Amino acid sequence: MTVDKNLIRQYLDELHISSRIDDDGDLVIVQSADEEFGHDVVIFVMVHNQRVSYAAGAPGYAPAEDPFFLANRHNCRRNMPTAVVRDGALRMECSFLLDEEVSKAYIVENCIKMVLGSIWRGFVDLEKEE
Amino acid sequence: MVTMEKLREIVDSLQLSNRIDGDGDMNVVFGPSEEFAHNVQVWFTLESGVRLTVVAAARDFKIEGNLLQLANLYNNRFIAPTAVVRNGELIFEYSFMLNEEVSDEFLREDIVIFILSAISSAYKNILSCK
Repeated sequence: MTVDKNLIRQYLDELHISSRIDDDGDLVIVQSADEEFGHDVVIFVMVHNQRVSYAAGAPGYAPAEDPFFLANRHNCRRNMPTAVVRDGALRMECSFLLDEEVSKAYIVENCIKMVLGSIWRGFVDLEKEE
Repeated sequence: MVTMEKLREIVDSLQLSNRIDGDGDMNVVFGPSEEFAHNVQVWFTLESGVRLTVVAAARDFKIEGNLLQLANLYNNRFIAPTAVVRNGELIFEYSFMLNEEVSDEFLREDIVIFILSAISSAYKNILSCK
């Protein structure tokens, strides 16, 4: 199975997850602000050379605490995604190399559904003490 | 289902010395090299047969500077493993969900070889971030 942008978008459609294509040809998914997290989370999904990469940010969100502390605390608590500070903004990133055979269920469950849920929870829980 | 025995077979095929500890975890040691003059201990832990966590640490290695910012700089540049600061020590962690069907080639190439290769150069890479 060749993992490309069309395949990932097909799986997103099957999951009833809306996506659009940006000027760079990457997929973009927006998770809307709600009472848990008051900023939209914008997720870029890039598929190149059978690697699926996610980079998510929350435009307008400025954490109250030191972002380096928050990113490290998140990374200690959670297996994924990796929180990074880029240009002062907190982002959630992760990627999957899929150039060997895996099942559709593996891609859908572990490389799409779990990631999207983890990105959202990452922002929701970022400043919470646990 | 992925087992530690299966993971060990792959590590054995790479001719890397390893051992299984009393908890059933697998330990691999990368010896000192010209690029990094310390042992790097690598631990593979398989939780319930579905989540593989890999942790790497160089216990006798101390690095000066702001560790949170250094870890972040590394995480900006490198996909895996994730650098985290725990109890003042900089270590590397990564995990994979294995609850869905994957091929033996995926397990070997995209998980075991991928993460061991990334870990083998992680300390050299983080020193390059200073």
